[in-house]
Amino acid sequence: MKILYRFHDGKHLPIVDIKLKSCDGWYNTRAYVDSGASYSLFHADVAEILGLVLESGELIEMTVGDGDSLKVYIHRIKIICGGEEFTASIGFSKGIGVGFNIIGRKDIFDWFIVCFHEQEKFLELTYLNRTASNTFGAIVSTRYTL
Amino acid sequence: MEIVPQKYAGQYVAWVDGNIVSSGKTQLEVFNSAKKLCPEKEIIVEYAPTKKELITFL
Repeated sequence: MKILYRFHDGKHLPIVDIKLKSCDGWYNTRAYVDSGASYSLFHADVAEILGLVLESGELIEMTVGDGDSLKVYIHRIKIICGGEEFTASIGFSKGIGVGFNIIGRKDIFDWFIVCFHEQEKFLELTYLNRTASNTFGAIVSTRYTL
Repeated sequence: MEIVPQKYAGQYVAWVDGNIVSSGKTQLEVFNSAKKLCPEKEIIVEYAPTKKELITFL
């Protein structure tokens, strides 16, 4: 799937649509794809929207860019990203210093080959079909939608 | 694709049918406002970055 970068105030940013399963449907939002982030990270109020009890997740401490640590609660939830539905570990925190939701590598990058086309301003997500007999996955499709 | 107007920089906005129906400082308040206004519609919440956040080291 080919996803055009989002345009904000003169800059093109690798921001994609993502759906998170909530207690009564799906929460549709957008998130910044950050290949340097170990985990996907959403603000704590998203956990509330989804009907999750924040502190019931697995608590981990993440180190952020300036060396500070951040308390993050990891929940396993169903998501739809790149047109595919699967379960992923998603972190929620009250201490995120930027407004963006962030898509990091854990689980999500296991399901896709992720290619940043900076010059052309698009992100390419190629879904890997994972089965028990094919743990490394096989490229099943490259779909192009603009 | 719709573009978030610059006046919303630093805020979250909720899109319904290509229109911004609510904005605010948290995703929760923006989502809840949009849900009240358009309970049956698909809502997409996104963040409009500030100028500083456009060049980000995450």
